[in-house]
Amino acid sequence: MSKFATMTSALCALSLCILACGQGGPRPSDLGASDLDLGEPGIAWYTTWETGLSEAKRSGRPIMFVAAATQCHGISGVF
Amino acid sequence: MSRAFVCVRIDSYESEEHQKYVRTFLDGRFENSAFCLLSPGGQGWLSRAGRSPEMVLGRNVSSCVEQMKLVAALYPPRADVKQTEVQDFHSVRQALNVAAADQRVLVVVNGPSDQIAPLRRSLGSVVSDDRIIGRFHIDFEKDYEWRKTVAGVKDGAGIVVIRPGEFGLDGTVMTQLPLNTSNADILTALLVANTEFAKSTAKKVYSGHVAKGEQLGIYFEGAVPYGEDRDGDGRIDRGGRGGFPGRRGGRPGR
Repeated sequence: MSKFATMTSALCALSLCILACGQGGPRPSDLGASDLDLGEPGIAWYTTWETGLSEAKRSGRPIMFVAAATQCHGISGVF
Repeated sequence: MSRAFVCVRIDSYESEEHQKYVRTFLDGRFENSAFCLLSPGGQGWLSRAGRSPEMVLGRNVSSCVEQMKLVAALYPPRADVKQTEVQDFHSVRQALNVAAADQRVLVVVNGPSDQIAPLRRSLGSVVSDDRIIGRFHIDFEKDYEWRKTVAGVKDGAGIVVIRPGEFGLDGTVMTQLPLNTSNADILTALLVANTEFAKSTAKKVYSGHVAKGEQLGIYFEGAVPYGEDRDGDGRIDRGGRGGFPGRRGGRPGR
């Protein structure tokens, strides 16, 4: 999978998932599976602000910041 | 292309501190998702903030990618991106949940602070390897209390490679290595674990997962009440446009 396709796939999944439990996106019952196959490379997340900021300062790369819920109506294991 | 950015994703309901970050980015409102681009120092805004990439950067994913390419071009890396800082979590509980949600293998580097500190640096080249990057989640943990939620953990410090449970409430050890394992051997073990995980795990279907969780009575308690504060008055909204009402200790209303 090309880097562009990986990013597109990851962003697509990101968009759907972070909107799923809010009122600005599709209903959970309308959502299927991620386009990304298991074991394939997705976004390399920093999952604390501190480590992400440290890496951004070290490398000089800009930050893509996302806040999302790791549950839907209290049901865990899903974005 | 995401490698041109440092991608930070925090859980909106993990702590009061995280909720404050979201309110900062959304002009005082609290909603369960937020997205924006920031300068490497974390202070300068490179985009406005909104609930999703499309709301901020464009009408569709392709235009979002194009906009991000333009921003990335302004900030070429100043240091080796193959020797990065390693990600971390605030707790194994959170790490298991996130690994389950992303359907990735979780690696917990567990032991006394002075023993795991060197691995925060030395593992940078492992997690940046093209065969590893974006496929795992990594957590550093000095406590051992979390081990009761994961089956098959051996005593003592170690690098514990874990298959997260379906709902991220538990896990199973795939392999466990000593802290002094060479990077080459860690890399080999992770490649094997990733292949095994991918072959033996069904891809999660969002709607089916939520329905199954409802049937099983799954409930993950957040550190702060669930719900949104869309009017920005500092309190979680109750009903109406505020989404489901937030409360502790029970299932949010539908």
